[in-house]
Amino acid sequence: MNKKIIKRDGREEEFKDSKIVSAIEKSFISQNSILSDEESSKILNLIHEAIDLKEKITVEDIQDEVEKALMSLNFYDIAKAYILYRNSRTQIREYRDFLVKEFNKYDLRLLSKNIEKEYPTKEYSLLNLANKYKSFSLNSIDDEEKMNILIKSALELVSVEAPKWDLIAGRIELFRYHLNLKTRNKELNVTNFYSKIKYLIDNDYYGSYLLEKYNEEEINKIERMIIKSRDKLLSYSSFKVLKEECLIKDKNGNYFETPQEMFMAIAMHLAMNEKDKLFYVKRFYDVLSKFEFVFALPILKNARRKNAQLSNCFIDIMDDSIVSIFESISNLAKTYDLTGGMGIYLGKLRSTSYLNKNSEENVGILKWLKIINDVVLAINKKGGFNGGVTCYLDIWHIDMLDFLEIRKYLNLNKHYKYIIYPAICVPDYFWKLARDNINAMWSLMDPHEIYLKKNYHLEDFYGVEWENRYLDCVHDDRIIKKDVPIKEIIRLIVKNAFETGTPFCFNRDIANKENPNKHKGMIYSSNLSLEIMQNVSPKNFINEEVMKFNGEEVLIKKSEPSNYPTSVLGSICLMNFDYSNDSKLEDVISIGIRALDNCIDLTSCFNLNSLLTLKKYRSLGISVNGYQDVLANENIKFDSEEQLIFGNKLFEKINYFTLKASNALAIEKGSYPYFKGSDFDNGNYFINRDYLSEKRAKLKDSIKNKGLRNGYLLAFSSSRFTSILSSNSESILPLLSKFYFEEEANKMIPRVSKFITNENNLYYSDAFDISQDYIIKTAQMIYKHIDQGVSLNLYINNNYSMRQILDLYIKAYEAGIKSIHFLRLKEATYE
Amino acid sequence: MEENIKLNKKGLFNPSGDISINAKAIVNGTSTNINDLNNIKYKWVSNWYRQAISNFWIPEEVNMNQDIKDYRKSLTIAERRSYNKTLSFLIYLDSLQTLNLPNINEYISAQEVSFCINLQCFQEDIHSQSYAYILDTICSPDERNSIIYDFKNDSIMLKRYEFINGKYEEFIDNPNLISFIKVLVANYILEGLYFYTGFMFFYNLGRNSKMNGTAQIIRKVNKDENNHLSLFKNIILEFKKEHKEIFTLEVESILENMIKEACIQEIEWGFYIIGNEIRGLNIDMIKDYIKYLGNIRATSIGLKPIFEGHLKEPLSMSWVSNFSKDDYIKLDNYGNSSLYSKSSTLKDDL
Ligand SMILES: [Fe+2]
Ligand SMILES: [Fe+2]
Repeated sequence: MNKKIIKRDGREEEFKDSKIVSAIEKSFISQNSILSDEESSKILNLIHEAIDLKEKITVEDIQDEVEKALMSLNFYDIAKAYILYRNSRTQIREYRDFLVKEFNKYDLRLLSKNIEKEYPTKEYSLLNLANKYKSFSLNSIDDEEKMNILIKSALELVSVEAPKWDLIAGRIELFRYHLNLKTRNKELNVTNFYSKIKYLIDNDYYGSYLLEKYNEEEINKIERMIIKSRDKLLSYSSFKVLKEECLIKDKNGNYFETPQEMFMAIAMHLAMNEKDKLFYVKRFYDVLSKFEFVFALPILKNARRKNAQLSNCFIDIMDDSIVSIFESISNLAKTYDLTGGMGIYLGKLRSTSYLNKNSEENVGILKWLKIINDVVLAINKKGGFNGGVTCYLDIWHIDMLDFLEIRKYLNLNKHYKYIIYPAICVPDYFWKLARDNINAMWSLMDPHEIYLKKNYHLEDFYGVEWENRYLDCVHDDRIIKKDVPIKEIIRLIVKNAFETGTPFCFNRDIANKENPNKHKGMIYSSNLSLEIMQNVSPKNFINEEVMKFNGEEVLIKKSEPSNYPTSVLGSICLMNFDYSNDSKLEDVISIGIRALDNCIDLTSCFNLNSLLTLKKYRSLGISVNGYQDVLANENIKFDSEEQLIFGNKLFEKINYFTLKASNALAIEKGSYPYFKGSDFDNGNYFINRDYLSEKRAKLKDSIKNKGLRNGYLLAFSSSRFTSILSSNSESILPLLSKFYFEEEANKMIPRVSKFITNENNLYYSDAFDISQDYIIKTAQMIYKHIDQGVSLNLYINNNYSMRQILDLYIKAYEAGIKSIHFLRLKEATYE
Repeated sequence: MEENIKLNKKGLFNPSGDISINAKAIVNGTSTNINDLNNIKYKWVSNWYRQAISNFWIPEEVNMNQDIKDYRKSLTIAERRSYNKTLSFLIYLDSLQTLNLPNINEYISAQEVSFCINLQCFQEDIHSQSYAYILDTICSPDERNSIIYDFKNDSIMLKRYEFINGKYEEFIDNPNLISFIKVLVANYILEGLYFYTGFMFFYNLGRNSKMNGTAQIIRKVNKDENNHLSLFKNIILEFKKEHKEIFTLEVESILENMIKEACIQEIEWGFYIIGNEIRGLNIDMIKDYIKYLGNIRATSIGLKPIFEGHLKEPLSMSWVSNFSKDDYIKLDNYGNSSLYSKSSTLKDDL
């Protein structure tokens, strides 16, 4: 019998018994009973008796008949369940219709159906969305405003119980974005990826190299590799950072690229000098668009553009001369104009006030700090991810006491914005005294005066050599000293850390002893967030000359290149692939490293000195994201021995695959120029880490014989950007709290892990509830497997005493931890 | 009967007083009145006190630049009206607090509790200062006055103020144990109900990306008020332990009725202030929310719930608690920090 059934939207469809049976079955299952074939045919018979005479029937009619049939066969409970189910479906349909009807310009039918299908559970019901929307919505607003409200409504539903509203909000936002982009493509006569790339090159957004390296046919092939559905991985928050930081827009704020086109264009740039271009385009695109390996902000922002600056994390030394100071400031300005996020070492600067006895103000180094602050404020337009600057000073510098109270000095005017973060460079000897003899005296001295009297720079040494020279200076009466009890200095450090989270702490001896490239220099300080640790040296100026160039006079400033580090960064986002599958992990890492390594040859740099440094060391900063998510997924508590064992295995593998990949690249493309004599070359790197297995011995030999592509590799930054983009928890850190808001430009953006579930909820630790010993032990475990640092925060509450805080610093030193970033204070709330 | 409910003002130095901890009591204690903080009876006090001290803040640390623009440009007429009236109401409430807390404190004979109330009183001053700061930055002087003294032209407002004031005056006129528990509960209602609907209104503007500076200040006020609320909850519960005989069924039902009456008035007020013209709020949401608050307040001091159902935070209002929690809001790493000495609570044991 060819019966037609009229669906709710008016379309007609063939009548099928199977559809009815499956609906009834669901009601049976919901009541924990099973529909037998016999029962099923009885019910069907009754229904057919009722409807067979009619030629066309509606869905509603059929459902009525199902109810009647169930009742007449005495399936009361089942009938009840069926009715309930039917009602809830109707309700949801009504709400969906309501939402769809709200909009004129936007057709939400397909989108809302898809969302329902992909998020079938109660907490993601569109009913919740519609209710929330209604409470915001007033009459007489246009479609755009309504859309804003709809997105805001979805965002407000984000909670620990329903974290995925963030993804739904992202879907709605992207839906609008794509629709608007389509209109725009038409206006610009953009019909495919090729014509879009051409348009963007013609209008100076993209670099012309893209069309020089890829022909139209290749680009058409590449276009077919784009997988649009990967947009589904973008939450509202991740799409927001892409829009604000990466996607290209014109002066009026109109965008050109879809997120997937952007990822693809980046992949094209990074793969353009590969022999097998298209193969690597696809590989790079895949790891990036699935957020398995996410490149740092400058790459996502600038790759594909003209003169792309792809590295970040610059570290500078301000040397003790006017020329050098202003050279540094000039570089600082350029850096903050383009990227930001610097660390500057100030330990070579003399203390002007101390030597000039007529001066009443004891400001010394603080004057330079104020200039640094003002320069960055003047240059840096929007703050963003890299708004701050970390300034380093040795703990024995004569201006240390003022430096520790820098906030008070700079914050005289409450409206004065303050973006400097003080960091202290601490030798082992200081921590030993603090531990064993806190009442001892500590001598603060002026580095310049030491140079005048002793003819060496004390800050150029580390370890025992430093200690001997320091004591020698202390006992040399010709050198002016300010003697302060260690206890007093600790008090200042702890008090300021408690109030402001700073000073950051850089354990210089540990960092230098474990520096794999100590044959080429030393590490004076770290970067903005204390994870990059590489050789730095001050620049030597030779002279300024007049030369003839095409008959014209030109001025040439000559200087000897120095070590001015910058790195290419990226993060392995553990939760976005099967991290327990070794070959997958190896694959992600090797593709990621290859892409980052290419950046070193592709990047342009406003600072030639640091470009040269980058090419000598080929430095990378590979980090991870999502460790806390992984632990929850494995049902492992952060503060447990089990975690340390689990982590040790994981990070050992990450280290192994990283070195292996860099070794393979060296075989293919050559070692980093400073490889000879490094700890990688002489094997100390492996010996220091007890990497003694057979597998390791093989790798060690291969590196010895064939080299290594990158002189610095692993540094665990706490990158908010890659963490938000990939929806993975930040770095290796526990969460500050399961749910919180970030306030951005007047908007409150909810943050909650999208991987949190009822089952693993318990395993998401709040950082403040964890015994800090475990944070330190975790860092200690990780330090074995990396060559630079971890951007590590400690978390305390206001029940901590000074002694307890000091003990954390001492424990960290004893555990071989190279740096401590923020000391975060939880303000306890009563009850 | 009269003798049973007698309430004594605390005296000055009492040399013949009892020095044992047990002589301490919320009211009518017989101790020496010497501030012996080494032997405190109410253990929750030390935590409370430390917490309240470390909450110290000043309104000037909040930047109001965007609010100045918002107040003129983004607020709708309805929103500006409610903004003004709600602010006016909060100003009234905090003024009343600074006046009335000393009245209550005159009878608190446990020094450590008395200290807490002094501190609370100081915080209420800061709240008044913050409203002044808000008004000072966003309004002209004449607008300012018309907001502060709005009750002179608004009879509904005036009636409400007089009602609240009346509850406090009952106690001043006739202080005894029964009027004392009533004034404690009146204070508890004021802090835990009247303020909260005001707060909610400002958070709602904040969640619509308007007047965020105000919302930020309100969050700080809110945090203090949370503390005040828990202080009075504790005082009420301790008082109840020490004077079980007072809490007859009759007295309990008087207290429950006070809360009920307050809720009903608050709902009417909400309708007057917010109506159905404010984006993000409607009268049903307000009703649900206030009934829920009423129930929470009643049950947490050992009374029966006032309204049937309404035991969980209504789903439509779950944003309020999210927006009110100071520590839920993570500011930029490189930005915010307060300068004044929070480390005064840091124990120096080096
Ligand atoms: Fe207050
Ligand atoms: Fe209060």
